[in-house]
Amino acid sequence: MAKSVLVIGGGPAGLAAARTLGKLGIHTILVEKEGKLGGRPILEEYHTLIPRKMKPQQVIGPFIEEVQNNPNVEVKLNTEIEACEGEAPNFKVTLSNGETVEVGAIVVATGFQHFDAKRKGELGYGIYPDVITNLELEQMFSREGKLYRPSNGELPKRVAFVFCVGSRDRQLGVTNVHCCRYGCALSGLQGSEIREKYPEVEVFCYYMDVRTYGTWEYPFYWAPQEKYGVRYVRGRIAEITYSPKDGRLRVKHEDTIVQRPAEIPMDLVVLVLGMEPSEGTKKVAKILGLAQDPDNQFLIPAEDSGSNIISNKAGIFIAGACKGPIDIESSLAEGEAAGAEAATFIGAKVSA
Amino acid sequence: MAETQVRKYGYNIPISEKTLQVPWEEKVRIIEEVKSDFRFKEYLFGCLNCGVCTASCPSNRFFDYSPREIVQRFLENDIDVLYDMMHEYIWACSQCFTCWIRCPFVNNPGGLVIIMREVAVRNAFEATKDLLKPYGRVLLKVMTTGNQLSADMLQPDFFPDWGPKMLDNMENLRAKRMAIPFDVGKSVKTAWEVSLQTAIEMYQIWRETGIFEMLEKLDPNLYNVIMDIVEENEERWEELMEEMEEAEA
Repeated sequence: MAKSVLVIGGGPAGLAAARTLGKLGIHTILVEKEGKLGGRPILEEYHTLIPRKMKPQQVIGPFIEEVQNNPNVEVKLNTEIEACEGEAPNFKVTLSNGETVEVGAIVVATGFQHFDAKRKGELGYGIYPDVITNLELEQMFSREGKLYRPSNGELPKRVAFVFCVGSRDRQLGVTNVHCCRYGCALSGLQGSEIREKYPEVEVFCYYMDVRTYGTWEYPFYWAPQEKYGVRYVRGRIAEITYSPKDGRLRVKHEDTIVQRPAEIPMDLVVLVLGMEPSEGTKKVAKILGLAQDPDNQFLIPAEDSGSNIISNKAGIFIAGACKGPIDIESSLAEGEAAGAEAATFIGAKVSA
Repeated sequence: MAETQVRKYGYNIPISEKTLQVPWEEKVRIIEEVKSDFRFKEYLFGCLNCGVCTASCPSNRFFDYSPREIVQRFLENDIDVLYDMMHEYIWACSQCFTCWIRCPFVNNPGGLVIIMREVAVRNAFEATKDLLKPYGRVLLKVMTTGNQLSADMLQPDFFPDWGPKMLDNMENLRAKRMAIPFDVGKSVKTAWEVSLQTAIEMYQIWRETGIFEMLEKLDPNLYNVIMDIVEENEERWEELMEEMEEAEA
């Protein structure tokens, strides 16, 4: 009878699961593909996290620390899973370092990846240097602490946020028809940050709907407009071109509220990227035989369970962005819940 | 009686008095004909009114025409507006299908316009007749030879929008055609050489698909001119076939 739990993925959900398991005194193996814990927010150096406007280090840092300092948690970096044999509670999992571990339960927290903006050719990403992604804008803030146009290093006069790039889009096939959930709110925050630091810069958000759901409505929808003067224009950007005459970009859209076609000069265009299941999520789903959504390929919970973290396989729990777009605080909560579920799963077997 | 309220659509286009006078049942019949087309359900899905189609639309830049409006009116099932659109509005579409290529929800406004145009032509709408009049010569050429344009169609009054330089190009057509360094059929009547067999097969297609009938309703004079040429070519073809049979025998 295996008494260990394997956690796959060292991002927010995986860290939260490992931390909970460690605190419960359960031997836990945490495997992480990259050479560093923390997941996307730490690895890709996000600047500020929604909704609490904290730094990634503030939010995820304590989780990393606790996991690393807990003797019950064995962290294996640069490691993936390669194969899995057996059923719960006796899984035999082969790791990429050649090791085989015997575990009683598995928590899958393999996360998401950002949409590749080059797939939307009409938006000119990769062609015009001043078309950047919202991830690159985060890195611009966190690494350099200033806003500038990549083409000439100057402060832009006008910045446009293009919502739903790689989300809610059937042109990309069935894989990208879902909403990214975070884009509207993050753009509101990024726009506010720009306006706060550079009041002379005009910021425009081009949207179809603004989905700052729940309590995010005021801080990420009304505050950007009322407090910081971010301007919202209803219409999806159809294409982005460049004018050599003035060296500025042109965003083309229809203002669907006043029903008027428009082509507006912009100095910097920020593409708000959608979320896709990570390569790791797809790989782990195949190895462990986890159910995936036939369209978007994210993991889906067991059909007969109302719980969001119970997978279709006994003893395997799924948490965080491997199941679809999710914010970081929910991701942490799901990781904690999955850790606790895994603990009870093993505990129940042990006492029987 | 209270005055009828003027209903508007598009960029402030009022619904025409003519459309309002057409019996409701007739308008419903026409729109049902459009909606029962086998392509219709593949061209219309949900719409978020994002405006990508209209922003991408070249016709939208020059005319009162918006592909988003087409989709919206179908989703609303606005019979009056749809019926009215079929008389002028939809003819501004240039059928480039950028709307379809870009729509995040894969609606096909350009495709809906095709169906509407076909129904308008099949039902011999007055407006359709007027709209097709300037294309009489193109139709004549297409239906008899399969060519849209030929050198001899370059005449001063024909393409005024091509500008004054075109007038020079219209002189000595035959010599200019001969000077083209590759084979263009050495003819000014067609853009390329059309074999009699190809033409005969094409007429067969026009017959089978009801194109001739459609044309007869729209423009009886043009129909007669075209049928004269068609029949002449068909006779020539039959004579040729007979000669060949005799030669074989």
